[in-house]
Amino acid sequence: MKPKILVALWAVLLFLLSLSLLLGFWGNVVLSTILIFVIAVAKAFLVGAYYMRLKWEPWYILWILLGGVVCLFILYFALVPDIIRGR
Amino acid sequence: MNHAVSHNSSVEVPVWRLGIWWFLASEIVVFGGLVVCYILYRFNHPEWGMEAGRTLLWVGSVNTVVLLTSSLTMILAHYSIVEKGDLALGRRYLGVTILLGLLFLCFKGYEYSHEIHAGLVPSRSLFWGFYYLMTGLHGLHVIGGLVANGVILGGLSQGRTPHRIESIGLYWHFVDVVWIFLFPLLYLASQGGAS
Repeated sequence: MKPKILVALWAVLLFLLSLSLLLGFWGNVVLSTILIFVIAVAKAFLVGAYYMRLKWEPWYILWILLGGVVCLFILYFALVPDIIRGR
Repeated sequence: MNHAVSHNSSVEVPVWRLGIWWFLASEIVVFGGLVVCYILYRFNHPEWGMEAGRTLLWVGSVNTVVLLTSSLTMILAHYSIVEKGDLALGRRYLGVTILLGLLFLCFKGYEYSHEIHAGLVPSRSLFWGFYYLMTGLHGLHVIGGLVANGVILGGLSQGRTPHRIESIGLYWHFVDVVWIFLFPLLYLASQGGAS
């Protein structure tokens, strides 16, 4: 990718950061929290796709990373009985 | 380097890059495990909103800008060295990345010192235990990245062509991605109404 595009992407990331900072002070806590995390996912996607160049990697690299995410879901459901229901 | 590889192609990935991706997948489990535990406990502890409101939002925000900028200089170093073959320019970008990483740690040190003086220590509550554990582990990763970047910069100064810059670049961006999630979890999501 050309440096100009990389710098433009950096500017978009900073814009998204400012947006999430503004949302942090919005009164609607539930909606702002959801939007803040949607923005965080978008930022992570942009960094992963373009800075880490996942967009140009073969499909099985994504599966390797998804393996880690699947482990997290397993961990999540394994911990729910102890943390949420066990109190 | 050919970046025009189709997403669905069966082009071989070099073993070293495959290794880095496996390593990063394992890091997802390490950081993700902490994040999952934090979120689950957060549901049970609405008072954590008040605690999170005591973190220094401005330091966290500045550190986010610093890390995002270091990611940019890291990818520009990669571009300069691997795609343009300009070692001198790549060395400069890598130097700036290291300086930004050090700046991040300085801000973090200031933040820790401020919080410890205010009595916000890990034993105060589970929130602060998670806070120090997650940011501390992230800080250790930043230190690891700085050491690796320093080694590569040293190699560049001796005129060696480092294809390893791509590996450490992936690692550095991953550390950035982790911070992208830690920032709203620990600093931001509570500011509105301290739910």
